[in-house]
Parts: sequence; C-alpha cells; structure tokens
Amino acid sequence: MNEDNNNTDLARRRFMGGLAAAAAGTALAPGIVLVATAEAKPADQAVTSKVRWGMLIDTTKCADGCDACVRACNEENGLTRHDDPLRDAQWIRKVEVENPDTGYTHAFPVMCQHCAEPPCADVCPTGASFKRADGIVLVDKHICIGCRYCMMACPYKARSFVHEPLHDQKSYMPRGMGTVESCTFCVHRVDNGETTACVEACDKDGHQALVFGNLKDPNSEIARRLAKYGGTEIRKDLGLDPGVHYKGI
Amino acid sequence: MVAVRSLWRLPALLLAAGLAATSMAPAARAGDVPQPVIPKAVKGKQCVLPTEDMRKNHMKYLLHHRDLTMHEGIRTKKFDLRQCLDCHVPKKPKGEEVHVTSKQHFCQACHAYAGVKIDCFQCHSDQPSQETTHFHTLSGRPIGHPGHKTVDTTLSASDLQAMAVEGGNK
Repeated sequence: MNEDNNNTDLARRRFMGGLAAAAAGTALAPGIVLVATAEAKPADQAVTSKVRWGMLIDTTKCADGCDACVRACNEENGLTRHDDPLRDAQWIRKVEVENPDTGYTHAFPVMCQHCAEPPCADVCPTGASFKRADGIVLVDKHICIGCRYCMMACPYKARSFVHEPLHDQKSYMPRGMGTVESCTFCVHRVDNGETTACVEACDKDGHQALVFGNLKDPNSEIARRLAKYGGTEIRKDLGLDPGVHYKGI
Repeated sequence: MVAVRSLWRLPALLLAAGLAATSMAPAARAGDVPQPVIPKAVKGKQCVLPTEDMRKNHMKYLLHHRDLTMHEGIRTKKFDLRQCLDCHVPKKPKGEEVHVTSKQHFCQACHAYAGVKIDCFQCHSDQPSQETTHFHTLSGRPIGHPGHKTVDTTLSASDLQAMAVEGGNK
C-alpha cells in the first residue's frame, strides 16, 4: 500500500465485528524453539529509551480463520468473562479487509499500536494514559477515572472499557471496573525478558506472522526485517509513529 | 511550663492505664469493638520489614512501589503486593478461597477494625498468585513455554503458570 491511497483504502475497508470463527482445534507444531527477543533488564532498574519495543505483523503469513493470537491474549490477561466478543474486552482482534473492486480479502490482527505520539496520552485528563520510556503505551488504572476520552482519541479502536465488577483477575494483570485498558505488549513478560503471548502463540502454531523486538537495536530480528523488507503502518498519515508495523497490507 | 506539660501528659497516662486494664482483662466491655483476629502468615517467619513498621506504613510502601512498577517497570519483590498475598493469604482450592470481603482475609481483618476501605482489590487479585493463574481449557496450548527464564528475583508469568499445575488447579 502506498501512502497516497492510504485513506481511500481505509475507507473501503469493511471491519468485521467480532472475531473470526474459532478453529475447532489447534495443531501444535512441535519442536519450535522460541527465540528470546528481549534482553532482560535487572528487576530493580527502570526502563530506558535506549529500547523501543515494537511489533512487525506479516499479514501474508497470517492464516485465514486462525485466531491463536487473540485467544492467547485473552488467556494471558484473563479477558474472557462471558466468552462473548461483544461483551468481553478486546485487546487484540482480527480485522478482515476487502478490496471491493477485486473481492480480495485478507485478515490480520490489530491491537494498540504503541504510538510514539500517542493521542490517548494527549487527551487523558489525569495522566493515566502514558507512554513508558521504552515506548509501551499503558493505562495507569490507579489514576484512570474512566472518562474514555482516550477511546475516542484512538484511531485504531484499540481500547476497551471495563463495565462490570471483576474478580479472579490474573495476579500479574490487575483489571477493574470503571477503567480503560488495552494491549500492554505483555509488559509483565517483557520486563522479564520474555516475548508477548500473541507472538508465542503464533509461533507455536507455526505461522510466525508476528515478530516482537527492539526497534532501536539494528541487530534485532524486527529491525533487520524492517530494514530489508520494509513495512507500513496503519494510518501512517496521522504521523503518530506507531510501534506496530505491518507487511503485506 | 512544667504544669502545662504535665497536663498534656495526663490524657496519655490515662490512655495507657486504660490499655493496660484492657490487656489485663481481655473480656471486652459491652459496646467495645472486638480486637481484630489477624490471620497468621502461611509462609515465612519475618515480613520484609519489622511488623510494627509494616502495620503503620505498609500503604506508603505499596503506593511508592506501585508507581515505580507502573511507570518505570521496576519489578522488585520486596514491596510487591503479590508477595504480601503469597505469604499472608492461604492458598485454597477454587471455590473455597478467602476473599477480601471476609474478615478472615488478612487485609480485611484490620481494615474492618480500623474502618478503612481497601481499594486495591477492585483491580488486583486478592488471592496468592498461584491460585489466580489458570488456563482456559479451550486453548489446547501447553502451559509454560520453552523460552522462558526467570530473571533476578522477579517471578515470571510462566513460573506462576507452572505453580498452578502443581497445585492441581485445573
């Protein structure tokens, strides 16, 4: 996609509500060795801007009807409450796009794009939406008042609001009623030198459509692939400099 | 000056005497709020700081640590709320957990007595970390993953998953 017809393409896109139909069973590819993408920082040290976390999504490898990343995210973060995508929080979703002229469709995951210039943080009246030094955009739910300005400001529709009282949250992923939330790039894993749940699930299923890593490290896989094959960003025209890059759209 | 000082001391002396009397006669007088029954820690002999300090200042330590973790990604264990729960809240099978709504819960025992509302558990789990980590049965994914490693003193998500299996939480 070139930059000139970004807007036209997006206007044509038909965003499918909900998730793609769940595959009945998930064939696991045995023997896949996960490459540790993150250099673990010592637990007592603050994150720095020497790192910028990002993701590359190769939509040509993203399998039709597969929602392994979505399910992995829901499990990891304890998002499944009603098992109903219309009521449960969505941190990542498969979006299907169609070119009405040719009828060509393909689907790929969209989540918080972890912008370098996050509009959610710009509009947040309390400072709850913020960008960490390493580029991860988060909601500090301790100071979120649930006004949902950030949800309106986000051009990617990446955020969800928690409407109901919750219990049995994951101990590493606090969530609560009256606050906004979105993809955290699995910050609890990343701080521990691990990769995100969605990347892990995609690799396990043998698709390897998702690459997570440090955009500022020229030797990281994501930086090398971006340098070699390039990538594009959704709504690049907005100048938000997203940390999530796509290939093939 | 001396007279003023001693006057100031008088209520304190009376209070001390009152407390001594109470402790000598544990049967509370009618109308007294019963002293909280604080559940014993399920593991560990000593808290991260002396008990008196923690009783008085735990909220300050937690607040400070919360901001460091949230905004700077500092994930040391010392003032991690999860560590508090791991020691102070017994691990029970699903359905039998002691929740923060009950005075049997370590936090609520004192907070009910002091009349101070706890907001932490509107978002945070009130259970020891092993109990809250369970996997959706639909996934078909094995728990844990080959690339995982534990760094420093921080518990990793996958460590918690492994514990959930050992605890028989299916």
